[in-house]
Amino acid sequence: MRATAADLWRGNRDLADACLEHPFVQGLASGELPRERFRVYVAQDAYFLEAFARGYALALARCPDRQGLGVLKDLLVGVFEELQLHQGYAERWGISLSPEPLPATSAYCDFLLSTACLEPSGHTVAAMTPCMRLYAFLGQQLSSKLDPESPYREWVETYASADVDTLASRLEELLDRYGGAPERLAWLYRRAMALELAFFQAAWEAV
Amino acid sequence: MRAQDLIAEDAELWYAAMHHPFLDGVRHGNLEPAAFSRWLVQDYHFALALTRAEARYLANAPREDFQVLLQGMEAMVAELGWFEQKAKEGSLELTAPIHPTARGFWQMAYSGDHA
Repeated sequence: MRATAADLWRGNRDLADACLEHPFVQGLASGELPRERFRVYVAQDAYFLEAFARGYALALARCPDRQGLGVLKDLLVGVFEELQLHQGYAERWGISLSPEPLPATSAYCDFLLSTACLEPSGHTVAAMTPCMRLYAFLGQQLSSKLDPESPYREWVETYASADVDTLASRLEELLDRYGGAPERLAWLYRRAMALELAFFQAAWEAV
Repeated sequence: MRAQDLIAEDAELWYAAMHHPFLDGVRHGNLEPAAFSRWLVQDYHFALALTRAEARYLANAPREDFQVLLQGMEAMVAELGWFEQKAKEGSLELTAPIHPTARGFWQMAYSGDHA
């Protein structure tokens, strides 16, 4: 039997926990993350989100049912709302949102876009779900220990919001409905999760 | 070339399209309801294809054009909802076979691989 989105999440909790425990992520809640590292992260993430938006657009163009058009459109709108968070930080702290991508960023973007270009919608959704579910998880987990003085408070609160959780659930519903080759779905999901961890690590090591 | 130039280039066709008896009927409120129903079902097919086509344009567009294409897509999805509502009110079958003219449009929307 094919694993559901919930099974895939459970099977990858090791990587989700590794992201949560990563000093970059912990530093967002405590406020101790060096600002230079966050600046790198925001720029790289804005670059990444452009590929993420294109991935959703390709999944939308190819999705097998009418319902998917509406769900993927809402997810695409969600990416633009997410980018507003980045733009806010960019304006306040003078960050350019058009950086040269770090190797971890390129690896993730290339992975998403090649999946979205070459594979069926269900596989694309499997590659995109970890990002959504992981960020909802990180936001929720961090919010309980958020230092209200953290300069990254807005980041934590954005991803802890019910809206992000709802979007992640809607994407998971699509994953369950579309499905695909079970081994491939599992590989894509885990690969995306590993790329998430590498993304935080790259921002941590960059400066 | 601007969009307005395209209209000017085919001014007669544009005028004829804008003054078709179907549109006159919509304008004056005396269009035969069955004609409106036929249009609704066929245009739904087209709107579905166009929504997917817009998504592909966005996937290939420069970053600065994302917002306008996204707004177009949002409008299309809202329009699909309107079609579905109207079809429900009139008990119309939206899965009715696609007419050759609508199919021609549909194929054009899907053929934009250069985009």
